[in-house]
Amino acid sequence: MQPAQAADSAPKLCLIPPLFAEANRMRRLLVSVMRHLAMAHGIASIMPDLPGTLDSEAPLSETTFTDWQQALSVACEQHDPISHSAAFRAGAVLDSALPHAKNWRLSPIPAAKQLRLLARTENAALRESGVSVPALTEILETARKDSVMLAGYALSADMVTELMDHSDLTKADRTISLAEDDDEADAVLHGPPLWLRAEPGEAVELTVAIADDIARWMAG
Amino acid sequence: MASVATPVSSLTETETDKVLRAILRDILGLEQDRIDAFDRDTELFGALPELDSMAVAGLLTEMEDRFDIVIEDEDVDGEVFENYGNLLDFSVQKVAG
Repeated sequence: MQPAQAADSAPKLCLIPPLFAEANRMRRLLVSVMRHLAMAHGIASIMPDLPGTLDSEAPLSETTFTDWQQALSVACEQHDPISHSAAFRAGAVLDSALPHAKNWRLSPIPAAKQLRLLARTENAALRESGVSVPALTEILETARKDSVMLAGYALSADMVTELMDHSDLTKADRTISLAEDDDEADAVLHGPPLWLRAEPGEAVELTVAIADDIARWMAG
Repeated sequence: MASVATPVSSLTETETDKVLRAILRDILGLEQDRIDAFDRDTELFGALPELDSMAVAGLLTEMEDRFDIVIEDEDVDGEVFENYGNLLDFSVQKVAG
């Protein structure tokens, strides 16, 4: 099957991956979504690797949130016109870096929650080795002042501070949830939240449902 | 014999049980009928290869999210994850505040 042909001026999408471990767990699904968007809907999309994450060779320890925003903005300028963004999980904190793109989100969470999960994962490893664990708030307050290693991620104090301070998400143009009882979602899609799983595998129906929802929204 | 629970609290516990099973299903990627077969004595940590320490961190975070509670890491000891009954009791207690 050949991808449907899109005109150069056709709407283009930028996918913003989740942060940290969730980016790795979701990557296969996101790439499948991009493929389905191209093949079934003729929609071109890009998904930049944020500096220090996925295949980026930049050292995460020297990266700040501002670097992420700038990298995203520059990547999208190179693929002008990026008219729409689709952010996944804590990737939602970054869609404001593309102020001219309409924004779609899947199960967005504030970055502070993602950091809490990293601190908790660090604690889980400590607990296994029989060491008493510090409070999560204490870990994160310390991390605002000094660089830390949390669950294998080397984070600068600037990165932690900026992520904590960018935690309020304004309402997106469209928000999708996988949870039935999510009051803040515009619609619910059915499928497994693969970002929770160490071995996420595939979710074909969810992949198609996400791509179809994005395509309908972009056409609307 | 267990004390007789009022209808309201038993409903709450039933709902907590249902949500907790859904969280475990989502995190561990197990089939629904396998999760449905869990009883109070079903061993968790150490018995389910999918439930490693990272998954425990995810589990606590999802419990906070879906039960709308805050769990302090210091309050959680290893016994909580020994079996399903302990995890359910811990959840019910947290949900009750």
